[in-house]
Amino acid sequence: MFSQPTTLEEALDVRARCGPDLLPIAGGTDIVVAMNRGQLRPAGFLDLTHVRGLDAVRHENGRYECGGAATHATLSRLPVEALAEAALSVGGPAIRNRGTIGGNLVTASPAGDGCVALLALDADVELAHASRGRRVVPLREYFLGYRKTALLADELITRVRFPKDWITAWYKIGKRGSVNISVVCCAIGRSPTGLFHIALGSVAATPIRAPHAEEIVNRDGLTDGAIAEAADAVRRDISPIDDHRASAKYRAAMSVTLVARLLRRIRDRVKEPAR
Amino acid sequence: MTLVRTLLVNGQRHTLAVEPFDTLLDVLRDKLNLTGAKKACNVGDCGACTVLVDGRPVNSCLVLAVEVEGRPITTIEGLGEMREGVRELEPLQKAFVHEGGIQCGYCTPGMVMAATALLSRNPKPTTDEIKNALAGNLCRCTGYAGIVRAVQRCENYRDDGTCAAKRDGAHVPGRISRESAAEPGRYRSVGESLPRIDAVDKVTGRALYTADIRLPGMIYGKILGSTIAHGTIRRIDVSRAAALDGVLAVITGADVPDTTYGVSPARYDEHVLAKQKVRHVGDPVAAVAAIDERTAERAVALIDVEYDELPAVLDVFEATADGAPLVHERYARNIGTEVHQHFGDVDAAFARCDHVREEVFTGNHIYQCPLEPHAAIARWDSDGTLVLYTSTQAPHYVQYMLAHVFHIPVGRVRVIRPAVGGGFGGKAATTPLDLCAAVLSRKTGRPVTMRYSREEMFHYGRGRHKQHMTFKLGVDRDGRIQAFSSEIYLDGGAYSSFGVATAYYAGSMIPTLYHIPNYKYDGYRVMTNKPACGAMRGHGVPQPRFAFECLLNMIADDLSIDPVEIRRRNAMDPNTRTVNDMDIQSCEFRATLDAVEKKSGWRSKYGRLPPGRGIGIGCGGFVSGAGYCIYRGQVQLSHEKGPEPFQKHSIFPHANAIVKISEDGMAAVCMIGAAEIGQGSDTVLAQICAESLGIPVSRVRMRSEDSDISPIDLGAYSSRVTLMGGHAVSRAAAAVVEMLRPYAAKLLGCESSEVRARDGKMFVEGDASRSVDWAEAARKYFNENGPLVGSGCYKPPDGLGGDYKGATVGTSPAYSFGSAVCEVSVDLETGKVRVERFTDYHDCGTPINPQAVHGQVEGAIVMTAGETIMEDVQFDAKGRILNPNLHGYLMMSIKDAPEIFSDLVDSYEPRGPFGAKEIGEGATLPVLGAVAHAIANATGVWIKDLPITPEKILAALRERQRTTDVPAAAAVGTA
Repeated sequence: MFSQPTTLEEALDVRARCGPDLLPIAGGTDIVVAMNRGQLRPAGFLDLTHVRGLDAVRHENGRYECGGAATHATLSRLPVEALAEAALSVGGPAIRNRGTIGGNLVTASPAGDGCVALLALDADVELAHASRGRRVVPLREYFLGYRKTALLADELITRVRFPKDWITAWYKIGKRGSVNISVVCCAIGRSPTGLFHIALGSVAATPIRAPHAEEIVNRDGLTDGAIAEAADAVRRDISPIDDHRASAKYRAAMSVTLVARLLRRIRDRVKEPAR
Repeated sequence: MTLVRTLLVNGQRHTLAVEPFDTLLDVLRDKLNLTGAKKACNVGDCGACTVLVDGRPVNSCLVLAVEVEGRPITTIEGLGEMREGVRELEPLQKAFVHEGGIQCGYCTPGMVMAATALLSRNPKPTTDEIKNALAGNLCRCTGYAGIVRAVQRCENYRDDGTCAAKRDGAHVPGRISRESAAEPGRYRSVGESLPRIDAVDKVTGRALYTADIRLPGMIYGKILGSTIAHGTIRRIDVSRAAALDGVLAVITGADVPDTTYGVSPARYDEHVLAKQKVRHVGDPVAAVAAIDERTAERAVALIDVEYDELPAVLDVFEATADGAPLVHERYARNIGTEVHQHFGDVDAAFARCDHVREEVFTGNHIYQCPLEPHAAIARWDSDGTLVLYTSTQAPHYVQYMLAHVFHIPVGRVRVIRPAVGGGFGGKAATTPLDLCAAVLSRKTGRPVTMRYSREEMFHYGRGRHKQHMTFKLGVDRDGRIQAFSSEIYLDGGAYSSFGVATAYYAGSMIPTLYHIPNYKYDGYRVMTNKPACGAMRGHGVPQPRFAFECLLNMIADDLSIDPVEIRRRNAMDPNTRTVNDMDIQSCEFRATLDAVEKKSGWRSKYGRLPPGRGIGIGCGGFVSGAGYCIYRGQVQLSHEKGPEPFQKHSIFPHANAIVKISEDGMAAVCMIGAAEIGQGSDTVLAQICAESLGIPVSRVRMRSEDSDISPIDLGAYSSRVTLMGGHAVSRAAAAVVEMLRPYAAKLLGCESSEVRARDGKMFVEGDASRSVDWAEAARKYFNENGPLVGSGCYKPPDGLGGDYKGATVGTSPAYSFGSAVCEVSVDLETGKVRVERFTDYHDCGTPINPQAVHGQVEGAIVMTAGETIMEDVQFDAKGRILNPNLHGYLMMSIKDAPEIFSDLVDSYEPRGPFGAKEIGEGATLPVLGAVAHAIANATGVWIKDLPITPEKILAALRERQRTTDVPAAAAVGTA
């Protein structure tokens, strides 16, 4: 079975009718990998690559709104530092030309770089159903468990919305210069009201926010002491594991290092004269 | 569900039937026969399948064909303007050809497509932009240096002539070829940086690798590997697999010969398929042949195997413990090979030393990861000849082993070696693919092709042995080495493979670099329930060399002697017989030390860099070809043959060549079974052939791929081809010239002895104006005698090596030497290492093709630097590989590769053709120690187990902070 709709309505309709029988596919950079490894043998596909407008990025009211099929390559060109750098750290250029933000969110890997950056931007994700309509879920509530999300089997990810003008920072510790899966990655976004949104990847079953760390800098600001305390507090937010990439111990230590490093970086930015 | 779709490929519309789950790569390769895009990982990790869709690069292995209907698709075959039926090369392709951007060629189409996309929107990219654009394309051969040069200098190749026109005497821009050491201008082809003779085929996607070849009626085989690390097979049920539509044969251990095989004749311990016992995850258990690969994969999954699991041993110490389960009954304590060598008296010497230091070092499990996965096609001809196409670096040993397993004469086996996409030792042995394809072909009567997936390659193994090394070095107060003793446990995996030689090599190369008057080596090659280890680039030596270089640097610091200086004081000299009876001829090791010291700015940097930045040195030396063949005696059916006594001379020549001149005298066909695997041997041998004949290289064609055509060369291992194959070719060519002399003399009116050949002319010595066309002399010869054919061969010198057990391993006609300085920066908060720069000088004798030499050095540096800090095959507690893919097993990407300066010192090897010796493997040896030293210099902590990961560095830094007050980066190299 194979469906190749050209409009979103049509796509939602097929999704609602066929549900899990037709696997939605866009870039294929996760799905075809699993297929080629023999781990996945879908009955058919709902090909989203021909849906008009689903890969577009729009800008309105100080927020970006990007379609679920917007590619990492597209996101890497946005002037939102953490997201652009996160997108740029995914795979190589060929992967980024195909892989999409929607795919990143559906796969919901704990190491999903784009997910981490969007968490730090306190993004919203729009999930749509042909008849029930659209619902907007804050991304921090979207990840339910290891590769489990709020997306239902008859819905599609249609939009992701995030602010344009936040001060953000990104850092990924990987083991190679490119085609590089994160050992720990961290993104921090500071809203214009001065609230910090600290997100980490590869240190828990899902990409996470770090509320303990956030609380300290939201309360005390970016003093040396607060940064150190917040960085240390991140240990209570994470639950890393040992795997072949790194030990839990290293991941914990690097979470602390990265939170401190990025908070200092944001402090430097905040001090910069307005441009 | 089959769909009819129209694809727009290279400007042509193709309407064809596709399945929804067909990838673009499979459709291009299998349905459109566009095999330029390669299937090297099939999961988007390597970029070898890169094509352009809408002008943008994509991994065609991850794109469904149905997704890109109607979108313009460009493959490597579509580059270049069509002119008179031939596509002209794009400037970028020319740049790849001339700048050393190509070696094995397997990454080349993907690289070129990714670079094409970059240049189309950014005609003058910066180096960083180039690296970003190629960041998803892995290369295992070039170290990316030639690739970056090619893209940078693409501009220079606009409005240039065709490549074919540039082949004769073309200098490579920016890479000045060195004049030969003896007489400047003496040679025409030898000593020139000519482009590879296969470069145009590789840069256009025309080069055919085994997986690109489709024979009429060909079917596809697949192997089922064991799911457990150790056990016996209780029951195999193949009925469900055999019943699947499209399955033509299923075989198990019961269907294969009982004859065991392997590499070392005394250790043939592998069955084609497991007879009863399985010894590692992936150990071949059964195989199927089916109408296509997908059906074969599905059939394999339908084979039911029940095992009685046995406890597995996964590390050398566990395996050698009392009462440990035995991997093979025949190897007590799981020790397959034991080496005990003692020269001089180390105990007495240590007692006299002013300083003695002992340290324990641990290596890592490294895998060659050539970009091209192993592949084979077998067919049985009607006269009973077995024909095997295979991706191998040692066609003769494959021929020999097939004859052995199938009990047929070697002469009834024909091995064809298509283009090979890299080997590095991983393709030096006969594979289960070769053998199973032959069995399945005999059973079905059809040609059978088999290919490893990337994951299967890891399960097949044959990578570098992980070595556990206890090294003790004693010196006098000036740092002069008095004694060295070592104990090494090599983790061999489940089969012997090359392991006997590995265990000996681990010891034999240590005393060839420095004078070591008293030397002791105890080695144990241990069987474990992991894929067998084999011979990898530098065979057995890189890890001991790493450990030795680290220990020497530690001692230099202990004694406050500069690390370069301590090496100078101990450096090997030419014309030396080492303590373990290796015959060193030419040796310019000291010159390499002086040169790297100066070029790298060592004196202004060592001990003077800020914390987090470091500089280090490492050195190495290696054989130019093994002195003895892997099997003893003559070429004959080994299974009928009893053990023969060892003799200290070669029974048959190791390299053999035939040079045949076409009837019109305009072409020379050089036939030699030397395996071109990407290292450039065809090009180097063509240069030698042309030089020796006195004709331009453009008139030489190499025929090295078919054992029916080309006489035996033992293969591309032990860095032997330039020296041994080079001699055979130059002798065959010289024989041709000898035959031509009388005919030329007659035309010239001089004596035969006065005739010289050069530049396609034959002339009177001392008076080049009296000349005739070389071809005219050849025609005259043909008129009188028929075919003009010369042959030549090479045997290593008699009597190589000493008289102790294992004295043959490490013998060679000649030895290379080299020194490298590495500079790194280390993030002291994360432990992350950036290898910034390498400065390397080598003594490879007089190079035949300097650009090819630098290509080997650049590739070796990047491969081995990655080995030092990133690469490691990791296993879980059940012996399963955790990272059998190219995103988990980390070879350096273009973004990790350091800046490299490579140069050569003047040298001439009297035993080498035109003074040449090896570079391919020796170039790896200085690298590990140099990187480790630079990291120690940057951080103040020595990491003695490989790979030197950020995590280990950070742990060591924190441990030191806890135990001492020493600030970061103060302990190493600041004495």
